[in-house]
Amino acid sequence: MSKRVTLSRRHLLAGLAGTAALPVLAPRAIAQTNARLVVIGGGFGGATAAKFLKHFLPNTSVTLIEPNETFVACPFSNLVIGGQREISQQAFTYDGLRALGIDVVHQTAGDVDVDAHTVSLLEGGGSVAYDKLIMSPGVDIRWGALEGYDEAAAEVMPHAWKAGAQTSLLRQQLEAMEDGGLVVMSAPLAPFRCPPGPYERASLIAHYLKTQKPASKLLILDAKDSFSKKPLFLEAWAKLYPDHLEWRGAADFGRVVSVDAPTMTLSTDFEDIAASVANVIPPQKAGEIAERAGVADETGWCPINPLDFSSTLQPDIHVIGDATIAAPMPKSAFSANLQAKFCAMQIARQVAGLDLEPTVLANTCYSYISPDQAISITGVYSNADGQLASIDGAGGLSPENADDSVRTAEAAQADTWFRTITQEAFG
Amino acid sequence: MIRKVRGLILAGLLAGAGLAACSPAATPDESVGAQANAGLSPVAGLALTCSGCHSSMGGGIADISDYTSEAIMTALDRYRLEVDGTTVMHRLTRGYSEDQLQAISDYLGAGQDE
Repeated sequence: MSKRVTLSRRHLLAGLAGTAALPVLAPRAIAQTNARLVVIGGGFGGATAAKFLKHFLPNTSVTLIEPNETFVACPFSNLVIGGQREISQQAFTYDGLRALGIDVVHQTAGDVDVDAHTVSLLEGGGSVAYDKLIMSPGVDIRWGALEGYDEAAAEVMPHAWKAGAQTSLLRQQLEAMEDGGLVVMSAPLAPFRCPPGPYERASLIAHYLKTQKPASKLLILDAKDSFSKKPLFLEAWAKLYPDHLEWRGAADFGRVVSVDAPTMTLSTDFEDIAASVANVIPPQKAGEIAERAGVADETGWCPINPLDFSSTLQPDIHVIGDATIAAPMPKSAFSANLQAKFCAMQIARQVAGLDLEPTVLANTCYSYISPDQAISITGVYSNADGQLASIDGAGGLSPENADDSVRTAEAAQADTWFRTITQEAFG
Repeated sequence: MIRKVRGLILAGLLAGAGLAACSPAATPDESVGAQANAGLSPVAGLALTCSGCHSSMGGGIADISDYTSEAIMTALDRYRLEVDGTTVMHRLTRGYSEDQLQAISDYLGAGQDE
């Protein structure tokens, strides 16, 4: 399947270079300047993609399908849980996109008919036709993959892994907890959205306990033994929160095998632990629309060609962001934003009949270890035989045992990054 | 200079390709040539990364919008060669060749060089 799609794309590109063959080889007429470009999902990936399609091809019709009128950002939402930010500071509207001439449709994408090239709209009925579709569906929870964890359990033991009401719920539970309580976090196996996210959150919860509820403690039960920025987090925890944070990896029976919401119990193979507040970060998969469109494989995630983030499973659909199989490029807002810009550029180049540019992408993720200190991880990636690969010698972590000035400088950079990337996506 | 030549070549390709004529719905103001903008210049793809962090927001990350190509290249080269550097830029620049960094600098600084 993958080979066929790649081959036809090559033919298509070859066709664009020579004019005579165009009508035959481009039945969808992507060379038309009035190509219909549609984006599903208005997060960091989708909003950025819509803006950059419009930027590169200003006279083209760009439609963004997104059910929510307000987007609530996940990056920096751990600061809401820690008490440093208000959830309202995480909210962004689509007014900026509308002002650019993007048609923002607040409906749920129902099904993608890959043969007819249409997306059905759930609430309003009808459908939207596309020549090129970019899907940025984010993640959905694999309900039931962790025994006992379903939608009802999440109202008691919040995941807070999609920002919004869940974020506020976890914050309220922490505020309501009596001093002396035990907060338990369950962290999943990779892949999941925001690999360092659980550990940034743990740091900020531990800071809250240390400063506001000093007789309390956070226990992280982890399904794995290694995690993003581990040496830096361990260093920070030993230094900042020795009495308020304990991490237990898989080798120490940290993996949670089931939860029971009514009794607030998390069970490992070794013991049952009763929590005062439980934050269960569950196993995840690509947003459900990906499955309905046939762009997710048996892993639940979406394979892509790193040349232009086109789906290897369906023609004329590109997938970006957390839903993709793009490792070693992580599931981060930075990645989604950059993949969106790159994908939009490659589509615009195809529409304009230009050769595609080589894939060179990067990622930077900052994580707070306290309200005024942060650490970072970076990477640079290229396309190696159809897979994204890290460029040797590049990227890596902030230095270990660095001066506080290094950590405070990265906290200031993180703050600027958030304001910049949300402006680029939604402003 | 290289960029300008490339731009002219691009414009020529777009005008000569006759793509608009293949589209039954095309009207003159929708020609591909009119649509293509500086964003589709060669090496634009490399520079897409930068705007995720660099803006006029101020704070912890430099606003490079008024930097010349030379100033950007000087900074990138310093990051690339400074072995004990602690910032994300030190780690990122090591992923690019000198030619790529020069191309990024030329692209981003183009407006300030004239």
